[in-house]
Amino acid sequence: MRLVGLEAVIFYLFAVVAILFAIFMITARSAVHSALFLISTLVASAGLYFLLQAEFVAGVQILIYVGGVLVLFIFVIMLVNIKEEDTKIFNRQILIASILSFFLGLGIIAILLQTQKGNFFTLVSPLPPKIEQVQNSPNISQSHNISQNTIKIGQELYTRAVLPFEIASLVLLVAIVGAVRLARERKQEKIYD
Amino acid sequence: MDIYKLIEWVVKIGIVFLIFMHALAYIVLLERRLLGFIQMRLGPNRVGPFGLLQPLADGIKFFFKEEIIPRDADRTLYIIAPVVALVPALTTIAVIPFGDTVNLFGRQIELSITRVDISMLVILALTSMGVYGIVLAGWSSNNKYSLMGGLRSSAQMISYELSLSLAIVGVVIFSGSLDLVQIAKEQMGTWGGIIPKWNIFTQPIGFTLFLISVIAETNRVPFDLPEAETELVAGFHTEYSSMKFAIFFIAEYANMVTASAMATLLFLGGWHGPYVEKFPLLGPVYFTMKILFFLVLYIWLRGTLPRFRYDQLMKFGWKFMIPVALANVVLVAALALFLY
Repeated sequence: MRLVGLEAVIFYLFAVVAILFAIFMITARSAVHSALFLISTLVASAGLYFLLQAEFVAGVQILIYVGGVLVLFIFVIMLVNIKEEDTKIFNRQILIASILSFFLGLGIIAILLQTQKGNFFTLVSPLPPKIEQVQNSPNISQSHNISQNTIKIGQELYTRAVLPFEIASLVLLVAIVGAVRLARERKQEKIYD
Repeated sequence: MDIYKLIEWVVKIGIVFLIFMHALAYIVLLERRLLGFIQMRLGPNRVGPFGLLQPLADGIKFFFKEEIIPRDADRTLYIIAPVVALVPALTTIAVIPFGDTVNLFGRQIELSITRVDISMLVILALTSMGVYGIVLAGWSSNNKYSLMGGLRSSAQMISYELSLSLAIVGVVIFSGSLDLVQIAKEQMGTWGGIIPKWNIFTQPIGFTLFLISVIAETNRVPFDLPEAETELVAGFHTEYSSMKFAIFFIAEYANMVTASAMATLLFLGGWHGPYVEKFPLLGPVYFTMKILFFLVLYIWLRGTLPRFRYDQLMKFGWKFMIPVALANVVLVAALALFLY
């Protein structure tokens, strides 16, 4: 997709902000600052989703990650004492980490070079999403005016992606039950009551 | 771009912003006077007729107060925190529609600053970001009471956001849209000429859930634990003074107005009322009146109810509100299936 004019300006703004704050996130000395930089990165990537006209994904990204998950992160960071990590950000795992990230970087570059048509640096615009198709599908009554990609996501979730969707929710359920079990044993329950 | 379009936008933003900011100042006055009457006293009535110039006096006072930053505070975050609280609170008004399309100066003008397909989601996303102002203020002040306030508010916001969203899901299922304009339009008309087709009548459970969670979301009595004066010395804004404190204040009242506007649009038919089809300019008037109703309700509650205890609040949120909200969603979905 070739970007022109204002779109290009906004894209590069969000992209640069996202990458810069991602770097700040891993180099920040205080864990709270790291979490805040992560929030900025997530907001910037939500802006990128908006540019891709995926408003629903952008809204949900902010609602769930920024408004939910990261609030919990900050909650936990504030609860635990983190004086130790305040002083040093590198530890003995630096060698193995750099080897792993080297291969990860190679992998990403390899994938970028072999995108479907041409490579990353001469991107050919993918086919624009066919909005008319969704509009004309008989399942949706015309009076109900949800944004098109909200409809699309809903339909995909309940038709093609139904198995992964259910598996994901099952995994989350297991995690919740496990967390409750770990946090509240029978004995504690008795004390609490 | 069309130059008239640009002028229209700028004028709309200017008018809405001016009215909004002035309204915020006068809601504070309304609250102080009403609380005064509830407590058998007069409230501020010295500055100007009926105390009407009190907000101005307060504003001037705030500007001239000394600004104190604690020595061990995280300076950057301490300064940013009020801004983080205010920006989402003010941004939400951009997507709130306050009337239908009107004909003014030979142009079709939509009575909202901007119309988004997913305005409901945008408002939810923005209000969920408001918590960071409080959390950051609590953390950066380097004060244990403030930190407690910040922690409490983050836990509270997350808990009540769930039941809030679930209550809204009910309305979204019924009107089949995330667009607030569309949701309000679905509530047009009456049953038998008397009862208006508002969602409050079709979804009383959803409305109650929404109202309770929204009070918790805006940190108001009886859910104002993040700033409980008696136990936390004002919580997250203990260390703040001068205009920074005032900004937190403005943000809180802006959130109240947004919440009332949301309640109006989702459950009380938005700008609909008698004769609004003939004279579309009546829309904003009805809208304001309905918002005012909710604001008075907020103040009334504050004058009436004592504060929850923290564990009661969490228990209520997780063990009552969320199960009921889930049941409500199932019920509404089943009803919607039968009705359509």
